[in-house]
Amino acid sequence: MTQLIIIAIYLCLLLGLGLFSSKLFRGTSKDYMLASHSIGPFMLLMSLFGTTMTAFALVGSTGESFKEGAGVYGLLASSSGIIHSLCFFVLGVKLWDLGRKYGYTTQIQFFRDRLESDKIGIILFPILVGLVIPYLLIGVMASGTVINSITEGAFETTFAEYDYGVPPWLASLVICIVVLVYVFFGGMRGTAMANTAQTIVFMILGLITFFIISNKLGGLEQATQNVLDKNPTKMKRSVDEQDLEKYKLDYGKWQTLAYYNYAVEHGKLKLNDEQMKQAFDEFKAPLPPFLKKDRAPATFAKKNGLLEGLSIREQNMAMLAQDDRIASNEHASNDDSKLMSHADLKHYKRKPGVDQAGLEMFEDKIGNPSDPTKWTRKKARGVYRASKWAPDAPRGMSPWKFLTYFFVPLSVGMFPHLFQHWLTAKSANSFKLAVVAHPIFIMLVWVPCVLLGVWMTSAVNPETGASLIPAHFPPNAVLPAAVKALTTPFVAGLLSAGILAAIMSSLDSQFLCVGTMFTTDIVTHYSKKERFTDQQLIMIARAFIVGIVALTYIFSLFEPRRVFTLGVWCFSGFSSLFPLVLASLYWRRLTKAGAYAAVIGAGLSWLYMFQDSGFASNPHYDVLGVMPVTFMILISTASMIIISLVTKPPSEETLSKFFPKSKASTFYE
Amino acid sequence: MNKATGKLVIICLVILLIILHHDVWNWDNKEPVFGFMPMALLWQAGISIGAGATWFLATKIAWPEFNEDDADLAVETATAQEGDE
Repeated sequence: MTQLIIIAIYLCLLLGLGLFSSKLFRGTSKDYMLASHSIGPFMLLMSLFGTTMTAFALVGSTGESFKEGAGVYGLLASSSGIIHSLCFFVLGVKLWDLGRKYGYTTQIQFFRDRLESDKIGIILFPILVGLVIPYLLIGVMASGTVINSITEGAFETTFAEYDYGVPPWLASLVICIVVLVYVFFGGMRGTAMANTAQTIVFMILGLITFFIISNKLGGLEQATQNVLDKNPTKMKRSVDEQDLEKYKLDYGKWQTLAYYNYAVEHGKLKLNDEQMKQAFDEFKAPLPPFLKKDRAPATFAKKNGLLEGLSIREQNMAMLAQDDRIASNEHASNDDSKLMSHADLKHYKRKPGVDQAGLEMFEDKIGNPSDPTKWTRKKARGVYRASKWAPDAPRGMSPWKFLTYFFVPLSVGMFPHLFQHWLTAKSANSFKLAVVAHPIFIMLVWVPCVLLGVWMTSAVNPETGASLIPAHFPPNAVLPAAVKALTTPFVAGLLSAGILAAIMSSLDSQFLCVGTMFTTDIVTHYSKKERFTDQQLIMIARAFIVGIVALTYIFSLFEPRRVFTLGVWCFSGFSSLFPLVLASLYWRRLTKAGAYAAVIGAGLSWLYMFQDSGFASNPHYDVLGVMPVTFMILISTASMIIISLVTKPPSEETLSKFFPKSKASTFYE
Repeated sequence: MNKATGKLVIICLVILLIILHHDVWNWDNKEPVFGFMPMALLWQAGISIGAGATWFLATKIAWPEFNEDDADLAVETATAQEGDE
């Protein structure tokens, strides 16, 4: 309950900040959307950083390094340090300059002017808003998971099916409402102020979390030593021999278990009482009774050759059943002569509702986690998966995927909310601090998160000695689970507030941005001049924001995806549009038709690959061994260049507007 | 140093950072540095610091020239527009 109270107080303080910033609001739509170009270097740095560091950076990076190891930092954090600042430097400053000269508020206004095309807005608007939705979804989904995990056991009898904590759907809803309220009251100024405050909060609390948890794990060196002993692959980017040997052994034991369970279930084997007694007498592994009950007889059966009568087909069916996968007819007719490998198994879909089986299996153990002898439903699901499913094969990182991850941070160049933040700058010099400090700030946030994720793979509860987080634990819940298990309720409450601060500092900018885009690019653009007053425009923006947030909220109620995977898909979509913004600023020959080709090429390739990955359900999806974003960028760039070169160049008037021969512009050309 | 040379220096440094980022020579290294830091993480953290230093240099030797009076004017114009509205 302590955690819940602290989170509630934090949310109230945030609302207070929104109300305070509303007193500074000048009442105009320009102030609402761009804070009247008055944001100085420090607030620009904090709001740009707070906006780009979302749930992805905290919840996502910890969960991903828990699954994939220390190499996760190199995938996105260090490359973002180079690419983000490069985008601020090469695109941000120049767009800011054009924005203040020609009065742009949104990207689409700029593209309409530069490309001499009114209709470019019609195809860009749905694509940009469509890509912002998964970005919003990351925050909305993660806030629900964090609050639910951290408040487990806060209630005595209510919300039993959510481990007696605040249900994720309710937590997400509250966060959406809080952010909506302070965005509505404060507009861009309130958002920038809240972002600054929240970025300070999450950076300080993040570092405190890191040191508290490392102390609990026995210190920095001990925490790392545990990983070296138990999961050395997580320390590097290739598969460690020790892990490979352990996996082969565990997989062999798992196969034995699968064959035994299949044989018993299909009446092909039944040990008598004497054999059972002998099986348990001989089984010396110190396992809990629920694991011993079938592993002991399975080991006995294997040792005495009682499983040798199973045909290859039966062995394959046994593995599919043990791994809760659906055996298709295709398999039954084709694969009878060959024993399936672990990789082959993964081609079969998991049975729906398998988590329910886990909950039923451990029904007597599940209860209110305020009682230390009881398990949460999350733990029951995790233990069920870890004890029934095939062990995870150790996985290294492909150098080609690592290399092509470099394209993902290019998304920053096309984030509509960042474009809007760029335009809030008071002067070009305001960018300097953001350009320099951004990579360092990324490091300060990501290094502790990645280390925590790696440590959690091998951490044990200091009091019981049991594994703290089982291997199949949901990655999105690793950070809050670690915080809850290793800190006091008071500290856990503060730290959760820090995590929520990071999430909300991105949501607010995105909310504001979609509203601004709708009023500026659609409503004002297509209505008669001065049809709407400023107040009416602000109301329309708010109504559209509520609509988009409601849609995102509905999506968040479906089966959750890994925050990291969903984030990478969203960023890849924006990255595929990067060639367009770069060319529009630096390539005179870019034409309207070339831009259409780039947008359509990017959109279609993204859609095709996104659905091919099972809508982000496959976290290891690649195309010919590289990241899908590589092909999206190639397709959009090639379409843009080819079509531009064969179509009529832009008018001289437009070229002289965007490529003037002045001293200031010569740097860029 | 003139702006063109400054720009060239920054481009070279960024390319160097991109090459150093792809540290295949650290792929198999699991030994922690300072007793706790995985090499895969430490090297990449170094890239972040290198990026910060490069961008600091960029603001000194390759920052585009803007007439800041124009910027002040832009703010004043924006304020005046709001007044009109």
